[in-house]
Amino acid sequence: MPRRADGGRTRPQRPARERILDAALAEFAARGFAATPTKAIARRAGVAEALVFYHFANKQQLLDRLVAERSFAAALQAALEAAAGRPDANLYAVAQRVYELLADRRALLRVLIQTTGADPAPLPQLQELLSRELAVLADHVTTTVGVDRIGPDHSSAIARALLSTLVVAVALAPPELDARTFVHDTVAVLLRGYAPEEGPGQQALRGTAGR
Amino acid sequence: MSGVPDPDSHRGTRGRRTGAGNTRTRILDAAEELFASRGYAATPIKAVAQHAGASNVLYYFPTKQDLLDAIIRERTFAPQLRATLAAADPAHPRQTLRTIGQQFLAMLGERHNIVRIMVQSTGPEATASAHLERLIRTELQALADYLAQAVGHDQLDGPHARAIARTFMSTILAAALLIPHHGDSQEMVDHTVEVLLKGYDVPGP
Repeated sequence: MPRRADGGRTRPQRPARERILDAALAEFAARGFAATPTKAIARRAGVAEALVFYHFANKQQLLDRLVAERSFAAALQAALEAAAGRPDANLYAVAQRVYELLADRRALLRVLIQTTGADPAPLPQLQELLSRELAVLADHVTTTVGVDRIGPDHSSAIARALLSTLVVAVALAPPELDARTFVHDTVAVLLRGYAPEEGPGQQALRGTAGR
Repeated sequence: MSGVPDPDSHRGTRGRRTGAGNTRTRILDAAEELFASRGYAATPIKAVAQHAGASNVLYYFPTKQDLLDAIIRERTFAPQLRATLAAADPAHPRQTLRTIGQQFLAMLGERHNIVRIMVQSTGPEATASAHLERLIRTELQALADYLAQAVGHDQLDGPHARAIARTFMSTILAAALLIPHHGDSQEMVDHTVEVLLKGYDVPGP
């Protein structure tokens, strides 16, 4: 976590705009979006409050830019697209990767969720982003299971349940199990019934996590 | 879910539901509103007393944590889940899950203050989360126990029953908060139940 670099003698200081975004995320995470004064963000970033307003029109815009620049959209998309189109790509591995990406962005995810009901609510951006990922993940489920074995309704339902469970575990209710077992069990109960009983397909679905 | 009697939900104590019960309820209402709007940490217990117009908050709730615990115990989805499970037919796990899903979704849509308090109180950075985390764990276990019994322990072991319970409740929670579903909510719940129970030989429709 890059802290405020005092003096910046040893290495070049991060640009002020980046430091303000870092500080905003840290303050929002600690106090909540609504309860964070811009002054506190400026103080943590080590800049004058006027500079915050030079870069960002208001607090809302700060949050908007955090979502746009610090979010996981691109990484998630890349992880899913890397797996897409490969019928042997393992849903367990994809789920594990998505979980790790979400965990890396835990602070931002929590800030966004905590603004539920805030006015104006920044949550729609997160919702839109997750809905997009949902579609990509559903396609991947169809490819993995086999288009002849699962319909679009069930692919979407599996994708929704998987993404929901990962997001909730990262942001709200940490699982009582270690992450790997938790992700494995979640995928296992979702895929059960879609693979042939003892065929080679099931072996592929079980993948590395065969316990 | 046993513990402190709740004057609003315990039929047995309804006869005694006089001024005392009302004061307690009023205090909880005030705390719910303030915790949700200002945050738990930023709300002094004095503000709750003032908002409720009650001078004896400490008589009912010795600490602010007790207030939060009472809200979590009595006003989250837990009591309704327990009631539904107690009345649930072990022969119809699909129907039971559908009912729970609809009830949870309705609760999340109506009780915004509770949702906001839950969201603030959970997660790794939350300050007041121990009680809620314990409660979530216990409630998920209760649902898992019902499922393992209904589906049959020979088909569904403990860890997988817990995975189904957690996945199901997470999906409903996320549908209300994070990943809006387009169209019929009944259908969303039904599909979730279908994919989770597929592959198990489950009685009933």
